[in-house]
Amino acid sequence: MSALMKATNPWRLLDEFNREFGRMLPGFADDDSQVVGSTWAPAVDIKEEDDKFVIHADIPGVSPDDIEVSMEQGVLTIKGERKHEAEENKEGYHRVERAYGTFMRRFALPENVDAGKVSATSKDGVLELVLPKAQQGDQPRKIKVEG
Amino acid sequence: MSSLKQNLDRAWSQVQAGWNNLVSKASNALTHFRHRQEDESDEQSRALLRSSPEWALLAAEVHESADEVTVRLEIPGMNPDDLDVEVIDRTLVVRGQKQVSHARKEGRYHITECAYGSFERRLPLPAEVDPGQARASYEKGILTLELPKSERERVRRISIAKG
Repeated sequence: MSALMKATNPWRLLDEFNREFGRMLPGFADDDSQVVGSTWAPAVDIKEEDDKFVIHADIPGVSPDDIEVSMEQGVLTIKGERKHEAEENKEGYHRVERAYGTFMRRFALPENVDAGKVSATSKDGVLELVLPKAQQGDQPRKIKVEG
Repeated sequence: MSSLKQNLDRAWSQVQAGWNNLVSKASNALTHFRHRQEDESDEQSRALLRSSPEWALLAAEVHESADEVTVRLEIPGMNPDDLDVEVIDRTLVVRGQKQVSHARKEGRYHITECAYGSFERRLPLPAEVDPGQARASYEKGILTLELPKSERERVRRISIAKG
């Protein structure tokens, strides 16, 4: 904890600690990700580009096969389970900080996301979701005026 | 009115229990990420670095068997070349620098919870190990270190078993 004391801005730290608190303990998060049964929630970055949204989620130690991504009524759900790496003897552990079990996060998506074209890849414990924006088919097409 | 107070009391005791649980489990894993602007080459990456949290949980697991100590550390999204591992006496020191990957920098960020920057985590080891025999691997965002115990430690163990 000594590193904590050196923080130059305690309020920012408190804020971040609070956020970790919210992610780790069911019932305290500001979204509805923490439903009964899930034991942890991954941190995410969400960014918007001209033609798509991209979500990165830190999910270390989880095989792609154990991650489930689904879309329903405009809500994107990422859920899965982290399993123990090896069948090790339960004795002999000096430190266990890692969370095992099910995780989940949900996000309401903007209406212009094309649900049918969401793609997901996983690398080095980071899940990347690409959510293309739907083509605005009804908008008037630009017509070039020839001189 | 009294039931409201009861509910508040209960909620507060839950918060306290949760907080104590978090502190006991995670406070050691809470790791400072230094945001050095010079580590990122362009302004968009620097902007993400600035808005990312300065603290993150690098959760560890330390397991001891008869012959070796196994350490697993969750550090997603790293280039293994940016990790530096050292054993100083009976302390494991893991340093690293998590860079904003180039594919990530375009666009406008709505939520930034993932940490970037340089960090250092020190873990006390339960036994003396031989750093020359150590094996390290990085897979699915987990750094795994297998650290065989030193000769002296093994001899000590045998002598205790016989005594």
